[in-house]
Amino acid sequence: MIKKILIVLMMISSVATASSKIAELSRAPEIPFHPPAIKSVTLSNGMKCYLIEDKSLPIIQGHIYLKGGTIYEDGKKLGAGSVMANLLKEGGTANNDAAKIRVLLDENAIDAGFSISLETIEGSFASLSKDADMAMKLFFEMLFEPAFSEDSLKISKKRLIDSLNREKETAAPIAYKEFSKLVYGKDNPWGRHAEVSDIKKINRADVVEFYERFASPDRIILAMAGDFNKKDLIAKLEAFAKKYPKKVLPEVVTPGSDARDFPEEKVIKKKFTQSAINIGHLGGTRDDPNKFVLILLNDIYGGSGSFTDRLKEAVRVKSGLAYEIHSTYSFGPKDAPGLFQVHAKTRNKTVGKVIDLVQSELEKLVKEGATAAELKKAKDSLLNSFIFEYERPYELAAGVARFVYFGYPEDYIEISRRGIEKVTLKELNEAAEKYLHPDKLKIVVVGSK
Amino acid sequence: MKIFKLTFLACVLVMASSVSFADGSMAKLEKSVVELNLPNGMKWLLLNRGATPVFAGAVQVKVGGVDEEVGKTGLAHMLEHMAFKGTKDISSDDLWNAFMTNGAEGLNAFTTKDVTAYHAKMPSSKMELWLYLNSEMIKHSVMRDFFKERDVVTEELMNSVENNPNGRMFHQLFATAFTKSPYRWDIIGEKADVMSLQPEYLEAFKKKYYVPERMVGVLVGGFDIAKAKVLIGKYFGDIPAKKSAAEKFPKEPEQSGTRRDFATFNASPVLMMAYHKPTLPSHDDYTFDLINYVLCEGENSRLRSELVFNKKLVRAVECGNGMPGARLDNLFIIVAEPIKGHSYEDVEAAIDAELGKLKNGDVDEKEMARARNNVAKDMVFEMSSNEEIAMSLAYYQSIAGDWRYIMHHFNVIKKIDSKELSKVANKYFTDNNKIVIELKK
Repeated sequence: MIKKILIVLMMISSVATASSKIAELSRAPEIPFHPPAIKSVTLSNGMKCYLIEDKSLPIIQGHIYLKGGTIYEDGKKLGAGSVMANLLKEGGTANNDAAKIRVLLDENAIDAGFSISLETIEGSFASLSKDADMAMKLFFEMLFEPAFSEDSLKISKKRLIDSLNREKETAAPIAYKEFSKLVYGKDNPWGRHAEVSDIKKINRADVVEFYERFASPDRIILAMAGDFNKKDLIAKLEAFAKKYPKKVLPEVVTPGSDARDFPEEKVIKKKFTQSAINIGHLGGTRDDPNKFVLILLNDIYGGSGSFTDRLKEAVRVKSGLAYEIHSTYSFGPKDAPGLFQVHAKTRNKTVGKVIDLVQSELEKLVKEGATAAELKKAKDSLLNSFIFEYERPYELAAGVARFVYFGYPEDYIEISRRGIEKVTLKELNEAAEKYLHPDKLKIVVVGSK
Repeated sequence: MKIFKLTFLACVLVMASSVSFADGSMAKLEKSVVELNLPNGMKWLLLNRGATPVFAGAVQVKVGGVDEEVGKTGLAHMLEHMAFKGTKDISSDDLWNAFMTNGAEGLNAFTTKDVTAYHAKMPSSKMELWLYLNSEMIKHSVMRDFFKERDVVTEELMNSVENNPNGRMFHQLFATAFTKSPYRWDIIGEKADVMSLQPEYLEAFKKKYYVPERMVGVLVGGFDIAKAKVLIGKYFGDIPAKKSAAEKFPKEPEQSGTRRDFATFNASPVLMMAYHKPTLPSHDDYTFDLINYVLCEGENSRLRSELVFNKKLVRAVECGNGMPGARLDNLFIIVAEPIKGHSYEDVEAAIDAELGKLKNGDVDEKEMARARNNVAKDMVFEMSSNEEIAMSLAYYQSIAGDWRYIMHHFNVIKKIDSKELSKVANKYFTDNNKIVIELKK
């Protein structure tokens, strides 16, 4: 008997030791760190630049955001933007055909590429600093003097079609596409997706028309970091600015979405042994004063990097039903909210169970609210990792450029930090009631139910 | 807790350099790395760099899929999952919360055929906490919620292998290429094995392989090295020294004739071709690092420019040297995705033709220089962050037995000429040594 009590005592004391050890080490004072202020430079052609010197390695990296995106594609010419983004790199330029561009990139060991998303056209380049001049020359040549050759167009379309077909062969990419179609409507610019039949119809004129609507230096934000002298770099960029003046282009009008939330379910039958599930509804807008509240709310529900948020705890840790389960809450422009969506994968026979848990956890969060401990945990996780925003100069420059592109101030990292710090439990739980709608969920299942 | 993804680029061990730029960076790096050998046999590598008070840390154990036995495959990976379940004194939730609320980023772990690694980035002020938590995970992890986690791992397998065309293809490729080598099964294990794993298998496996001699720790970032050394001793010094079990892997018999097989999945065509080759640090392995660039890396590399742009046969083509691992002799692989309307025969013939050119000495010095320049660039970029440097140091310390392998890679690569390239191509790109896997609906 005594022995037993002793064991219990020892156990308690060792538990106390472990948790007080964690508490003690968590109190280690922060090392003072003063975040650098990031200021832009605007070139004579209107291009806004965020440039950070970083001599730690003999490399340079650059990234651009150009106003544009697939939401601006003509509904009858879906895919024109995607083909254009591929051809900027692969379609040759006024001075060099496609094959010659490949040789030049290879000879100078330059990485370069372009992409398009719903709301952005992006490009990036990287090289050893000894090849930086050539990297910038080729990148701007591809961006401002594209040839869009017919032969390259043929290859690009074939490869894009092949990629679209391959995307339909695993469950997750189908689930994501079908979910946005279901929420926004399959013909709305925010919900539609170019199909194989759309790509087949795209011709060179469509690509050129799309390009000419957007490509002007004054609509570009450039981020660069690496082994350069900032003053010299500005002089070099200014020489490019003289070569590539701004153009007068029609105003870009962002399409809205008139989507409303109501419950709907879609099952896409596939012969997989595991199904992909996307569940959710409309998300928020970038100008919403509750943005930071919603970021914390999503972190508590299923958006953290930890196994201790509500969804991972309920579906993965306690039930063993999924390897992958998480939620995201995204923000769109004023008239087109982003998406709140849960993504999970589970064997076909437990699809119903996972959907039930996702719904009931959401209901619980709305009805009972989060706890003060959960809010503290979410805040600490986000606030204590803010320093990583400043870890890599290139990512910092590109991150600031991205915020500015989306209309936020240059010091948005610090604004976010303060915004998250200030959120109260009352605000959090009011937002849960206002923004989360367990009775209006759209559900997509790819596999079988 | 992801498995190192075996798709395309991952697992490619190419890092080399030939220009002074990369050379200079590596020399600088080599001089800055500080070694710490604990009396119990565990090695630590410390590097102070960067102005931001953050660090990347990793503890890597030289244990992976190769150390498993038939019937119990998937053990190493499952054990990695269980390390996050806490200890007798620390619940799983407390463990996660301690990391996350103190600012951990990218808290994760991975298992390969060769190694298991636990890693994260944290603010430097939390280095002692990181060391304490990692030491507890390594020393005292328990089999909490074992059977639920086994279900989670089964879901992971269904996602990465069973319902994934590339997963199926790699599964078939390694099962066909190897008859005796433990490289013949997937990292995640055979489904039937995984579903019948027992806690006591894991405990026995851990006891055998999680010994200090097989462990390497790495810290890279802005921190005080002298202080870090004391803390490492405090948290990792008490792991008892233990002789590591002798490694006895069955030798893979020489292949005598092309092997052809297929994987079945309702998806677009994928072609995988592979050739057996020796692993590092054999001289031929260095040459394959260069062959990889001549064939697949770089904008104008041979297979890419010929198959994608000139012949328009494939959507994409990638190569990989050192699949599926590097502790044992491995494969050089080529993966191609034929575009509709082009047969496997056409694509294979086009690849054969390109390999034939390499054998005939078609690569001139200019092309060699171009390949070296690209190798150099990638090397600098792949060692550009705290996390990447930490991973590379840990990896080469485990696999090559010395982290300096990667620092000196350049000195070997720069001496390889086109003649040697063609000699190696002739030696290994033979019909007898070839494996071809097709994806069929």
